[in-house]
Amino acid sequence: MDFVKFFARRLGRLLLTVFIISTLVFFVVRVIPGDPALIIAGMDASPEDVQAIRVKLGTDKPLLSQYLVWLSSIARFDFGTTLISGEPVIKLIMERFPLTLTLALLGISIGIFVAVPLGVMSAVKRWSLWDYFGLVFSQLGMAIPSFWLGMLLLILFAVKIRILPLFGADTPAHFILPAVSLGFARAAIILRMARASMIEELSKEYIITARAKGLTERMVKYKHALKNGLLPVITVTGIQFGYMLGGAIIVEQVFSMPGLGRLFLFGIYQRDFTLIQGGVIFVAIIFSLVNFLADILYSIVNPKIRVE
Amino acid sequence: MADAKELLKVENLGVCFIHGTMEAHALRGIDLSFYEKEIHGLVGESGSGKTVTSTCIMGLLPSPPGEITSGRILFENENLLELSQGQMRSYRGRKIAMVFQEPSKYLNPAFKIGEQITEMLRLHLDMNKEKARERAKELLGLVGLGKDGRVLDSYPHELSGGMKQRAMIAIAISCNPRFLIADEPTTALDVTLQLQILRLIKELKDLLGMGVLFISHDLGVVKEVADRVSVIYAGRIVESSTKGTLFDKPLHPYTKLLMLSIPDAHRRGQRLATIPGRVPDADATPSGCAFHPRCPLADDRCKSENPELRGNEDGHKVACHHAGESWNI
Amino acid sequence: MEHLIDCKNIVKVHRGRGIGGSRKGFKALDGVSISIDRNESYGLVGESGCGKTTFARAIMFLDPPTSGSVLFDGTALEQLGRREMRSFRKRMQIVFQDPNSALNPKMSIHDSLSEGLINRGIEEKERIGKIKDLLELVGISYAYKNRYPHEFSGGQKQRIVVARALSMEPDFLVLDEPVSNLDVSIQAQIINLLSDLKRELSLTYLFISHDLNLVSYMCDTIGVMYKGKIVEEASSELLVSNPLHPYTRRLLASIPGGGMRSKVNSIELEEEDADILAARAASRQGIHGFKGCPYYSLCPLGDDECISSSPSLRDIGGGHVVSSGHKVSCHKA
Repeated sequence: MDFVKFFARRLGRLLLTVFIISTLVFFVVRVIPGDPALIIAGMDASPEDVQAIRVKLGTDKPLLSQYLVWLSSIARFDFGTTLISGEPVIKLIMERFPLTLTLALLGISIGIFVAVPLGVMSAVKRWSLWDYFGLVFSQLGMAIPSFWLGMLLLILFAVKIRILPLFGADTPAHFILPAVSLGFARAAIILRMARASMIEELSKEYIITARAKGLTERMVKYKHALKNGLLPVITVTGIQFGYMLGGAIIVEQVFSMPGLGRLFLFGIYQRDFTLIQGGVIFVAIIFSLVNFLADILYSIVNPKIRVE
Repeated sequence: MADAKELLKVENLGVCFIHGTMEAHALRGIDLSFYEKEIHGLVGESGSGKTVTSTCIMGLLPSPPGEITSGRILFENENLLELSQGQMRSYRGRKIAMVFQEPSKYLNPAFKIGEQITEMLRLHLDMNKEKARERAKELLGLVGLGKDGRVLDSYPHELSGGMKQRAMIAIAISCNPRFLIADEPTTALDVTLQLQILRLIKELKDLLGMGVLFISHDLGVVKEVADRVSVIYAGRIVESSTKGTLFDKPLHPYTKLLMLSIPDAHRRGQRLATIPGRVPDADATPSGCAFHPRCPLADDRCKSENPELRGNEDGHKVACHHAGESWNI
Repeated sequence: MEHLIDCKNIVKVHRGRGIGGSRKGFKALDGVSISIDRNESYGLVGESGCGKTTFARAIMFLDPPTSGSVLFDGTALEQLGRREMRSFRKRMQIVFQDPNSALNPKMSIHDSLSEGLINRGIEEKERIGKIKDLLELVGISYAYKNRYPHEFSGGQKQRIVVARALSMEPDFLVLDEPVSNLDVSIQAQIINLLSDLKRELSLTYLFISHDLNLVSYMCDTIGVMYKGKIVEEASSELLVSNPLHPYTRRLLASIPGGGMRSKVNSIELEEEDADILAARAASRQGIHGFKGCPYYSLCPLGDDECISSSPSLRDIGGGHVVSSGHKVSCHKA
């Protein structure tokens, strides 16, 4: 029962967020100076041509009716057509999305399968070699920019040793280096969180209870502390995953991968405002969705959150 | 009471905490005896060494910084202090169990009550899942959480404070321990719940034949629940006797003052007796009798010579050069 | 005697969460009326969550009541503007349970005490003298004035908190569990101090505690609070010697050590039968918007009358010319 209520509340929050962002994007685009019709028509167009484009875009109508049209199209996942090529924005996005999703999944896997265990070990064996290794790893992860790491990896593995391909996204091997350079910094953040949260949980009173119950140290740490210690990690991992899905513009650029990031970058270069607008909304929806899922997962691990 | 079987004995236990060059003598040689089916109340103020005592019996003294400097803890012909960590672990929860002060903090928030009970049964008694669950259900009935086992599938946050403490007790008694340590188990509870929990502990003690170490700062609570009472001050037992004798005829001035300092309706209009100053820190215990700077009877001997804990013919033990002397309050 | 503070029908509803407070509000105080005479000590007893602290905060307008009136020394507080309220609030001070959170750890005690004095516009020269007097009053050596809170023990900190409250020269002091966080041997010191201060400075106390022993020692009048209502009110002697409400009896009987138990009928001592209580709780829940006695589901005396109507606080001396001053809200008293 609690869970159903919680689910409904979080779903409501998700829809509200999407609504607010849609509204925000709509008005921001309207407030920014420059008439899109003028951009499309070009410098030499006649006023009649410009007006015709306005009618086509719908920007000749009153603001309120434009807004309502906008909201209803968002609800149908219709982000309009691009100004330059005239293709539906959603089609372009969906073409690119699988690549970005793959990249993000690989990136976050590094976070989950490398950083979480490393962070937990760091906390359990504090001030051991493990811990120092973890600390150095997270320091580097946060200090090294991903584009620089990407280039370094390219030079090492694609140019010097030549065991991995250079550019593109044709084979699975193409994904290794981008995923590593994307995931490294994220993993560092997740590691820090996992370590800090485990250290905190290990100092809680219920750990004393667990020991007083005669449980093995393994059970005390990897059962009792871990289940609680993972909670903040879930939230942080969700947020990091959301970032990656938003398009790893820089990494995609460095590795010449045709993902979402590059699509949006292209849109910005071209001043293609429907594309940019559609991109922002899409990223926002994905980001909220991932956080929503993280919250649901959190509530499964920690039922207490449902009543708070 | 005298012929009851001795269950656990603490002899001359000394504990020191070392922080850099600073040494804090938390326990300075204490003796305590626990008998079957008897609740032994240990009364003292914060910092007196109550909790350190229980931590040592559980074998959970963090070392470093803690270090056992002397003594033995005898239980079933073994000196618990000489056992390996692994051996000690098989005693904990199985034969010696513990109930803590704040159930909301000492229960794991992420596990259902059922799981927190059954994991012990499965570990210590090798029960299978179904059998452990059945036994857990019985235990919940025993501590007054209903016979239908509804609480098994509850998380701690779904229970009230009193129910949580009952659940905590169910966990502690799950493996039929011989010895139970209750460390201020009712301090965080409301008065009406407090009495219920105290009664529950008494009932369970008789039912399971456990020996109980009951730690509290509250003389009233100890009077309610204990059969035998020891008073601890600055890491030493200063007085120890059966409850009746101790409350009727306290011999140590500290015990007397503690009793006189408790307000109630009968003392309306009278000034309460006070103990000047405060409990000394463990790293600065006064010389001689540690109570002498606060004691109305102190003389030169008390400043230099630490009184032994000595018993009279009734088994009433006291550590004071002026035991039983009276003074003008 | 004249009332210093007269609280009438204080209600506090905590608004529910959710957009627009859509969820139903929780009535933390349900029409509480008490009055305290000058230089009297009124004890408010009850278990955690019964509304004791909410009440104190409400009548001091730290967290104003939803409805009800507070007459302080003849002035209706709810009608005051913000500025007038400030000057009145100096006359009412509160001391909380935990002295650690009450004192700013980054301020020396001299600075902590100066704050209020500066607020009152007292010149520096005079201030030094005042601080010296205040510290002396609560038994802290003036030589410690430049120390910080962490250099003091819990009992000393509570003394400093009391000194700070007194620096405003209040008439009325709310003491919210002032000794609960202190060691046993320190509690008596603080209690004696509070008794002395009350006499020397002619203070009026509202003493909030869960400890009936302590309240019956300290206070002239005791009000027993249950679920946001006063269920019994009487002088200390009367309440302890002749408790009428089953909840009061239960509280008295619960005091560990058994000192008060003889005063109470054996029926209240019966451990409640879990099944009966569960059945009652269920029957209570079955009734939408239960109108009966709030104590019904725990009460050993409850019957149909207690389901159908909630008893109101009545004077049991009612009908006689002289009021006994003993009020109780129970059909079965």
